[in-house]
Amino acid sequence: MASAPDREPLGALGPEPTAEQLLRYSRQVLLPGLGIEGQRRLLGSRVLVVGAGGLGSPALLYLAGAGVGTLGVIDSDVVDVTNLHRQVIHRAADEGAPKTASAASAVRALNPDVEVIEHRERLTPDNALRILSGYHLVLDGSDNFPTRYLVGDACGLLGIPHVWGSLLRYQGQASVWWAGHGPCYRCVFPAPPPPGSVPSCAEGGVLGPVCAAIGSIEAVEAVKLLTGIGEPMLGRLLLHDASTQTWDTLPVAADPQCPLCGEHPTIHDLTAAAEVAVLCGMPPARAAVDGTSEPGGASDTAAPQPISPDQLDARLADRAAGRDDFMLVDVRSPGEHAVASIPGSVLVPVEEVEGGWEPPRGIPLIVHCASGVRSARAAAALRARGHDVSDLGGGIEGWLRAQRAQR
Amino acid sequence: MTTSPAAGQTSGPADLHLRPTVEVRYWAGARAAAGVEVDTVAGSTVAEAIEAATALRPGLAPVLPACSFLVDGQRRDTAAPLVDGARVEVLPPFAGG
Ligand SMILES: [Zn+2]
Repeated sequence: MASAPDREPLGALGPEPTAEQLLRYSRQVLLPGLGIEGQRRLLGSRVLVVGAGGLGSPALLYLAGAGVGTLGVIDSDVVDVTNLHRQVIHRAADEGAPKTASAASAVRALNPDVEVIEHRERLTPDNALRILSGYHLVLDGSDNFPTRYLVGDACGLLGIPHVWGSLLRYQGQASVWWAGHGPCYRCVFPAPPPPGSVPSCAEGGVLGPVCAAIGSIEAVEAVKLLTGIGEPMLGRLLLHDASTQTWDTLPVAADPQCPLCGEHPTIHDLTAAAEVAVLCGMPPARAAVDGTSEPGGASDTAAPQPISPDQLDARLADRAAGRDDFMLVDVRSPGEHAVASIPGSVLVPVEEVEGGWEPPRGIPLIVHCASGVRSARAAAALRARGHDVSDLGGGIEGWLRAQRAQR
Repeated sequence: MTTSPAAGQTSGPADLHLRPTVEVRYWAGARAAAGVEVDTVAGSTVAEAIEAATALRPGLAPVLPACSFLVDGQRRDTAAPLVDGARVEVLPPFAGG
């Protein structure tokens, strides 16, 4: 090993390129420092992309175009219509198809040199080490804290670089975490934020091209690490604000007290990552790597069955006819309520519900949010105070889908 | 901008000592909550600096408990001491993808 192992190419040296490959990759083989050898490294590389979402879409396409020989993609979700504004690897016709299948077909259509491995499952503490250990590096495009800590801890334990990017609204962050060579994710973010304190993209919104910007940065860092060109973004945190179009980098050093890579580590397996999932109110079994999931909610096993969109429509019709009486409470934010609301709903954000909001006594309540996580919290809080509460399963998104299906 | 949190307050024993003047720089959601990019405050620890910043920018209060604080490129606990001229970078975490 050379003295600077983080500058050694990570990719295995693939076979000599064919004439067709020389043509296909000619514009990047021309690049100073990349050359034929760099191309062979890319063709010999194995990269796992976690999540075929907003970040994974551009990253997968660019890594496929560059000729990364083996691309793994792990995602347990199916393509949803709310994904399409930003998850541009999928097509409208893919709605309902597994994201791994849709992403794999796009990758194969772009570059037949690439072998795609579809991991159509959730990344969990039970499978993470087995799955990740087959790859040279991991590109993190997940959308929730439990999966991010799981990827970070698994990469740290395996000594694999963790090419990382994350998004919210108009903001993006990116870095390369690599325990032993620089900081790891836990060096800078040692523990997840309190549940509910940070909105997800489903709650806070996200601009599609910002996904492209950050996902593309991740692809660049992956190519650099695999081929050994340039200076990897190790020990630097990139901070992007698309609303002001600013890009800043902050130096970040490894933390000697880091629980994963510090002098006296306390993390030796994925137990701590499993605890993050519980802390975030999202047991690993529910920790989807998808842009529409809403982390931060608590599950309530004692809760009655949620009501369906059809049942809500029937009760709304009955209420309009004077045969039923209830209060439909939207527990999302005012901004979300302004964008789309169910006619006849009353806005009371979940924070106010949990903060002690008291509806009139004696009238049944139906609560809803975007997809059912916050409304489950609100329903639990109201039931604890003695109210008769039904929860709209799937939230307004499920209701909108049902309206769409009726047309 | 410069403020002295001690100004106009009744002096306790701590205020007899001059506390370091430090910069607190906000990123992402913390910047949106603060409404400014940076504040100059007095604080001898990270906790004191962010307490002074919150006094100036009450909107920060719900955001800060989730944030990481970097000083000189190193994440620091709130108890970490600050020297004159230090800069505290306030980094909210987010996980969207
Ligand atoms: Zn670390």
